[in-house]
Amino acid sequence: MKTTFKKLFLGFTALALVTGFSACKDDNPAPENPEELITTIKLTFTDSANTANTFTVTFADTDGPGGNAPATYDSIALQTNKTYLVSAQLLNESVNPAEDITLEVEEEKDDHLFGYSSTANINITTTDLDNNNLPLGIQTKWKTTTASVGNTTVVLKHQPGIKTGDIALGETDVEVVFYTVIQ
Amino acid sequence: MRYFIILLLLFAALAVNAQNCNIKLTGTVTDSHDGEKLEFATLGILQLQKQAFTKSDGTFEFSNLCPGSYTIICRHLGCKDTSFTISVSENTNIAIVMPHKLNQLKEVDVKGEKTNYADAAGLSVISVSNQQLQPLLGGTLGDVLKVAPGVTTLQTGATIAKPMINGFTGNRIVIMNNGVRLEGQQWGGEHAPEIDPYIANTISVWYGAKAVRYGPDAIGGVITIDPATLPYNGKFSGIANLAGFSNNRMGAASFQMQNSFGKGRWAYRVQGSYRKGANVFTPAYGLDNSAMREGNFSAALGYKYKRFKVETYASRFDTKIGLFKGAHIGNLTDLLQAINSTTPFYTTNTHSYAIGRPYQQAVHYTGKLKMVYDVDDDSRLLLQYAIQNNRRQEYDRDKPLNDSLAALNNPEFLFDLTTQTVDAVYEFNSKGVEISGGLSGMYQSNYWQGRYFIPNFNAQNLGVFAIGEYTFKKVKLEAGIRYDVRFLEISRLIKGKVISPAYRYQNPSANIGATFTDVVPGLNIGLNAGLAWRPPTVSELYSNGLHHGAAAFEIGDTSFTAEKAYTGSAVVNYQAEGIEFRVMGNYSYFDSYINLEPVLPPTLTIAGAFPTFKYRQGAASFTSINFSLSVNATKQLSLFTRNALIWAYNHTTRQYLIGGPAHRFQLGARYSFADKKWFEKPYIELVGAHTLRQYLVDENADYTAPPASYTLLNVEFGFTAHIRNSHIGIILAASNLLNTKYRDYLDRFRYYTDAMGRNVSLKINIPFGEIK
Repeated sequence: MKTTFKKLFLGFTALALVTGFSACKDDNPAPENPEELITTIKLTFTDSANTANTFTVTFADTDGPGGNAPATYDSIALQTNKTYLVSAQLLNESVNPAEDITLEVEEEKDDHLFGYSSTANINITTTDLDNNNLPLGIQTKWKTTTASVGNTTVVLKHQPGIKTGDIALGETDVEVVFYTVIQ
Repeated sequence: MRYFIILLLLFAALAVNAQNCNIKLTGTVTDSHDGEKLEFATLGILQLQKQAFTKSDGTFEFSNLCPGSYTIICRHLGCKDTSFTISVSENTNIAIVMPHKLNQLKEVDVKGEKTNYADAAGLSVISVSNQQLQPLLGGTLGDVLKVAPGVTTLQTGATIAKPMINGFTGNRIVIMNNGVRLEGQQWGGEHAPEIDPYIANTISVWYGAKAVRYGPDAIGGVITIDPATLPYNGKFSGIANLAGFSNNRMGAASFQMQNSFGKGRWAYRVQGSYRKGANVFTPAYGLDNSAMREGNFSAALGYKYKRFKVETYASRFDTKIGLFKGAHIGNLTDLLQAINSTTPFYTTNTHSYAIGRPYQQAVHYTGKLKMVYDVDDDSRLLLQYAIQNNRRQEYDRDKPLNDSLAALNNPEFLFDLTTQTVDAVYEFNSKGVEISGGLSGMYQSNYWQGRYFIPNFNAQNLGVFAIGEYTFKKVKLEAGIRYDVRFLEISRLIKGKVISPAYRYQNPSANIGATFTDVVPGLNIGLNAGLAWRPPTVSELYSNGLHHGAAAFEIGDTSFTAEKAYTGSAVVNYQAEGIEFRVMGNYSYFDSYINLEPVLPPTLTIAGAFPTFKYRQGAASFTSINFSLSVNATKQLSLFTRNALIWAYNHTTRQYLIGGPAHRFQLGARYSFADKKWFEKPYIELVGAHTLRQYLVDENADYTAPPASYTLLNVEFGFTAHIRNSHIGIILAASNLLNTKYRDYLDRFRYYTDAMGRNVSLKINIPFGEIK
């Protein structure tokens, strides 16, 4: 009995050593950048009175959340008593070439809503609609009044199945606050 | 003050206690090795100096007993003496399993009606076995464990619960599943242990020197979950359990059968269970996507010949849990909005069993090979190899925007952890001296896919331990010492380059204790002091990412050293006629406690600002007091109270730690009716459970202030239907009977929703085949 036990013991130890302590090491870790990322929002402003007058305002955090601070973080500078047509664009600049996420938002426009609010003297209205005639917000019209400073918040909400036009609903995909000067 | 009135009431009840001294205590004594009924076993009741012998069928009887607590001593030639304390208030039948001369740590298996204390007097271990488990089964493992003093749960809604012992959870407690140390993704607050509660015959919580055997990191304690021993020489038997719950329309079923064959040298057990629940309802609304399902299977096969025994075991645990949609948060603004709305977004009034995004899925495999060799009558050798694989997948609420990515329907997080362990233990037990010692080795590797949260790693652990116990008359001294070395190698791919930093942690751990039984008759005292440590987890070192469910950015720190704890505890236990009293105090001091703390400023991302939490290491202490009392007011009526108070303090910030359990108080009454023919052991139990608001923590330290105090009323009615030769256990219960609206501080969903409303359940336990 004792020799049987000894054999079993040796076999057992060998098994443990082979399977356990020499098990293959995983040297092929996955890259640590996410597959899908929104790094950049660009607002392209066009002066409605003079369409040659265009400029862009950008927030870009090209390495994604955390890590380095946002590389570009512009302010919005507008003139008093003007109307601007504004178009929003989302990009993933962590990949080369950069990916245009706006196209994917447009594809699922019934589940998405851009919202804009400002503490400066601007009246912002949405000019595009989704398939259910609810606002979408990729295209907007900004009417400025008197000189002022404040913050303008741009939000993109993902509202699968619950979109009513209310910006409070859903999960936030984008939320950027731009310092805004009207002069 | 209110507390004092409760106490006074209890003592008043004791004073009017009318004694009825015609209780019968009957039972059966069997041999743990082969299940044989033991004749001529001697049983004695210490307090009464009464004695009885077992008949040829192993049965014995004591009659004309008054209600009370008695110490029973059981002796049989060739077996180790067994003693335990039992409280009797009615005719009671118990099963005693006598271990052979060797002490088998948990195989001193006493089954009775009340909580019985397997160790001297519940000084370093609390066991809940068999029949006491019946009313608890069907729920999560956490729900079942809550029966032990000091155990609470860290919840994520109603369906995910992690056990917490005296404020410690996750990697600070050790869970032993059928002798195998559970290695899951325990670092996450919403990661529940992957164990089927239906497998348990005994669940124990260990605090003392013996805990050293299971690892250096059992700072809060060790939970062991054990099935019954395999029935060598036994006959065919089994149990079927059925349970139904009203709130989330959950159904649960489990089945287990066992037998021996091949001249009784072989024995097997197969076991499986399945649970499926629909959406959870609070008193006011239902929670969209809170359904769950869980399916488990296990099989064990053993061979025993003379002094040699070999056992194999394999199990599969598989769960899919829907996470309430309203608790999946985009950023700080969303979170504040969720907190400020009285009714959450995404409520429902349908009882749907469908599980959509977000959800989590965990599959856990365990395989075990164990060999035991009885060297001689006093010693034995044990070898064990085990392998586990844990695969956890987490799915966010929304699929990726990109169509081709969305079509893959990949989890946003995937963690896959494989662990192999080898243990070699030698045990010796003779004439009051008990010694055990051994080696344990562990190899672990983890990989991930999806969004980065923790890196790939390999870890190796080597430990050596020795435990000694010496009993002299009424005094028992115990000491345990252990030394562990842990290697950790990280593997990361950053900008196309693999980097592999490596770490090594090594430290001793130790524990000494003394117990004094019958200091005055019925009074037992236990004292214990220990040194424990734990290497930092990979998540504490390396996590760096967004936790969408928690709307938090979590950042680790690679400079952490091992966490060391100095612990001390004292237990006083008093058992006399009609009264049982227990108080346990614990104090733990850490000089290097690793804690997740909020930092400013929040991390700014394109999706807005995220509250940011950093792991920090510093001094902390945990103080807890658990107090319980039970009094037999009359022959039928017993009153009891169970209370847990805890203070967790951060010495660096000079504030109480966020996330520590609030003080809890329980008051209950149990009324036992007389048997009527087939209607056996009927009882009704009513418990009021009061949880205080967590007033210790700073109101502003968290996103929202701790929720208000609340009181829940639970009721339970049970009996055994004796139909022909079957004893079918039936329990009808209701938790949160008054459908009280509340939120609990230890529930991670407290920001978003109320907790579960009234839940009525029916549980049926059907044993079949040969019944012990």
